[in-house]
Amino acid sequence: MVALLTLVALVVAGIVALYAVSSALRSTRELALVLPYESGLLPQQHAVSRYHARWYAITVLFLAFDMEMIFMYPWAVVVADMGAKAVVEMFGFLAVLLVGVTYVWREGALRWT
Amino acid sequence: MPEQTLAEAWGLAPAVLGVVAIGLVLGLVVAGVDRAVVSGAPRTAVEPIRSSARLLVEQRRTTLAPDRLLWRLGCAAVPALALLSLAVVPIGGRTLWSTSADLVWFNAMEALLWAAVWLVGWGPNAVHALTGGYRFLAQGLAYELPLMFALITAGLAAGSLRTTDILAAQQDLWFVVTMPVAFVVFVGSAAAFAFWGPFAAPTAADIAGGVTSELSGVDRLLVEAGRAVFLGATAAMAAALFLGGGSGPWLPGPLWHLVKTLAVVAALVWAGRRIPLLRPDRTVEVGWTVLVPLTLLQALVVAVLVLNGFYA
Amino acid sequence: MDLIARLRAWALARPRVLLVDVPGGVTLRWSVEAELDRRGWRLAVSPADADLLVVLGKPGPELAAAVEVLWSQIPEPRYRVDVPGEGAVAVDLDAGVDALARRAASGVGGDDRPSPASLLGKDGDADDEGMDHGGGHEGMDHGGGHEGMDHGGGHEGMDHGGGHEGMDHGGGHEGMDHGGGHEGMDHGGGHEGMDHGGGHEGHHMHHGGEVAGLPMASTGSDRDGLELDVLKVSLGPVLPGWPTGLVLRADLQGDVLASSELAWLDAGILPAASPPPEAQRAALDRLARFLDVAGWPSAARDARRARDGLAAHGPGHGGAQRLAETVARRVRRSRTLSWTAGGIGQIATERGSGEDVLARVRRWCDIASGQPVDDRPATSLAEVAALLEGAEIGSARLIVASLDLAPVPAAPAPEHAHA
Repeated sequence: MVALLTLVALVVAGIVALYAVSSALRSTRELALVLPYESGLLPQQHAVSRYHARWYAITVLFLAFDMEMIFMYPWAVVVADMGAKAVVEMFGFLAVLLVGVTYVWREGALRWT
Repeated sequence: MPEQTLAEAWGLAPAVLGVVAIGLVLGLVVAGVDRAVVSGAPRTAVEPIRSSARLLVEQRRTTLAPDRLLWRLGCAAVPALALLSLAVVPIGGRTLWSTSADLVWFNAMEALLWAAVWLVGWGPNAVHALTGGYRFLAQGLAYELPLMFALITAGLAAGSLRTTDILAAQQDLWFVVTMPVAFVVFVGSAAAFAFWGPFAAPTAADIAGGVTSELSGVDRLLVEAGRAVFLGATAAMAAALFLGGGSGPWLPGPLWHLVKTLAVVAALVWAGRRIPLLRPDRTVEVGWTVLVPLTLLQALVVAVLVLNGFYA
Repeated sequence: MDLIARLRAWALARPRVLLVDVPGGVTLRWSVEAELDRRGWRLAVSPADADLLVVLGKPGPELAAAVEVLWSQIPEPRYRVDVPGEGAVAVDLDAGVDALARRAASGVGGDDRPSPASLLGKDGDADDEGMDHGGGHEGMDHGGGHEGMDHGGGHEGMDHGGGHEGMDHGGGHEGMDHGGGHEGMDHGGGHEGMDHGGGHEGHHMHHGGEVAGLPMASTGSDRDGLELDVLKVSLGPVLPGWPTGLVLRADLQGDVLASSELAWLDAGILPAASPPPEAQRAALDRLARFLDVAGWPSAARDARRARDGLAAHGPGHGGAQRLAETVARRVRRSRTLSWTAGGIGQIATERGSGEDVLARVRRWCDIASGQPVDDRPATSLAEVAALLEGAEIGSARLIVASLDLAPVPAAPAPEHAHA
């Protein structure tokens, strides 16, 4: 744990040092205040808008599997001790989730353009 | 605990400095090989050093009404996460930090990258960057689960999530022999989360560099370096998880691990630069309908082998 | 101190180049790209990525205004090179990289950079003020900056001095003054955009005012019937792999384009279509630009090198021909490309089945490898705009890159003459 915290500290210090080195090397410390690049034209509106992520349905599916991973990590460690029962239960559970994937795929939610 | 961590073996300061230095060198190697392959001239392999210097002397930019705090935080997080993921990558057969959940740590660093890259895209209040940030999330939905299943497969065979245990379990047989799918998926996912090569849609030229389109100077350097270090770290991890790490005849262990890591980097760059960009909106479907079942099947095969005492 | 100067010069010895090729001068772009490849200088994909702004040919007033905006977005050290013709490409680029190193050493800050507010024409004062202000800046920047920095001697007369100032800024200012602030220039265009935005907002009664001189996005219902933000965007005139001078104005909902409109900048004064250069080299060039957009840099590099090699006569020619055939075969046979770019941008033909992006690219591959292929009728901008309706932004870029869009003078007569 100490080693990890030291690593974190060193990484942060390294990034700060990089900024310092850069500020010593570059010709101007002033930040260039510019318009966002819009192919040479002027932006007409602020780009940070409510972006329609049309793949939101997949994120829900993803969450189901992400939760499943929480079980799968400890499961991987105990398979050898628990025997066939553990494997059957885990892959039975995964099979249920895969039925969900099949349904979502048939509904066409995996392709959104 | 029979195993020593890197910090116990080398002393705290040398170990930590060593990990950071190895991460940076690996990143430079990845960038150099990539540059040479893309330009078709081997002598350009040193150009990444010049590019880094160029970014250090370049002025930084800020855009109109940016979300500056989150933007800079995202930029700094990319290399930080890459270097932190190296804490559980074995160097000379030892990791800097050894817990019962090393694989989860590696996975977590990569998962936090979702937030970091999205923030880099969100921050500058620019349409191309924003589009790139969302492309990364969409791409993440495609590669994340296959990546996790590939990781878990290695852990499953070793009966442990500790990297050094996984190394020890490969004394007789490298895992790549019984889990080739997991190996390929893991290396491919590395390209995807480093948004490099065929998975570079978040920074593609069609959206003017996407998440990096408004970055200049040291901010850009951080993101570019983070990508390269992540690729290097993952290649080293792939060599450890699937190619037996330091095991091999004649040469000393660390050298073997280095050779295998370089081989993974070379293979990845060579293969990755032979194909065009894969659009995330088409990759997601393949990720879910092909890669998820395939990696689960791989995990099932390995689980059955574990039950039969194949790896014991 | 000397060490830092040398480090800067070394770091900037291979600058990134943002290329603006004025429509009509395609062979000039080829020779500049060949020279950049020879030097190992890479092309920038956005102003943030660039050190040198290289303008090829004489931009019309609207494109010149866009170039000014791009110039304002490039971080220091930066330098603008105007290449009027093929004669002195190498000399101009050398001058550019020297000036870049000097600029880095001189410690020029961003003080000569117009503020976003003045570019948007929102300087707080009346609009005229803002324009004059912007004008003053520009004049100072280029007139002063250029002359002061690199044209010490005879070089001046040769390319920059007269040509640059005379054409670019003289013309630009005139357009601005007489255009009434709405038609011609930088600010004209901006205002139009703004008015548009304002009108939209008023209609929806959604967002109150402006933040930092720009309105927020307004809302509209998307194709799923959800009321979500609609962002007004423009693609072009200067975008990697995009026909320079072409502007796509559209609404972006998420990553989907709606109500696309396409137009050429400076449409009234576009040069008559230049006689097409050798078909094979032109096809290789189009292929390279498509491959840039499709994210296949190694294939794009080979296509460019084949294009440049075919110009030479002698022993190099055969090698270039082989390279052209190799890259054409590679692109034609790529399963990945057919999977990622297939099925989009179908144009209906008389024979029924539509020709998609992939079919068009494969036709180029045939021409690129030297096979004779019959001409296809040019696609009009209205047809392209219809293709882009509802396309994801990446598909839209592939569709545009797969078409041979060249500015046609406004009058329909030349089109007939061509056919």
